[in-house]
Amino acid sequence: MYRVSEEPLSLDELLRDVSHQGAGAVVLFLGVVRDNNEGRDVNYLEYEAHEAAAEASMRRIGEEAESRWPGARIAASHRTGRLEIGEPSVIVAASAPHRAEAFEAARYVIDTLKAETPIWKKEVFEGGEVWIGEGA
Amino acid sequence: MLRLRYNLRDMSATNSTTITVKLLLFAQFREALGGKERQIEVDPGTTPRELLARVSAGTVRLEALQAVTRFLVNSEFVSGDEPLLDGDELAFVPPVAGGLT
Repeated sequence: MYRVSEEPLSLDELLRDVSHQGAGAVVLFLGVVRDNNEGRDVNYLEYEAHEAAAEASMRRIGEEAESRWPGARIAASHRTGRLEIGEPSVIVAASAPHRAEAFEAARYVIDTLKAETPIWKKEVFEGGEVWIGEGA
Repeated sequence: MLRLRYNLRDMSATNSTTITVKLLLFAQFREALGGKERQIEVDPGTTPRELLARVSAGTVRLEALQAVTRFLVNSEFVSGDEPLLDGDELAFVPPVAGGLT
């Protein structure tokens, strides 16, 4: 399951999606809105996505992970819109026969997703705002 | 944005001399240009990269992004150097969220 949506993320749904009888390990990664960045006090974040392309990108990355770590199963979900401090913006679930592959696959998926998937993040802080990735 | 080109051959033909592209705007492009999408008429043969240069011209913030912006045509990443076709849906992709969680 790969989803980009304004709705709050569901851990249960992702967990269910990757669980199966051959999975001895499940890793859940949550990216959470932090209250500070580069010395600034963050008020909130706004995420914006090209939904069709973002879901396709997440699916491609997940399928890549599944072929690289045999037995792995991946699901990922990303939220858009305004997110407050402490709210999860992204969840990656990775199951695998053993924990080493589950950790590695989850890490691969979140790192690649953050570098490639067309989702943009605006940080609104005390005294201004900035699109992350602008090279400010 | 709207640009028409006339020449004798085109004027004698019944077909339009331009094609229409749907431009989806995100992040800095949405804020700087206003609106989430717009229809743009361009000359046949125009590439995404050329259109990016055209809409960014005169906006310092967008000009600064040109070298790092990627292109989606009909939701697929493309090089940006192939001509657009009538009815294509083009999105500019400025640098994505990235960063350290």
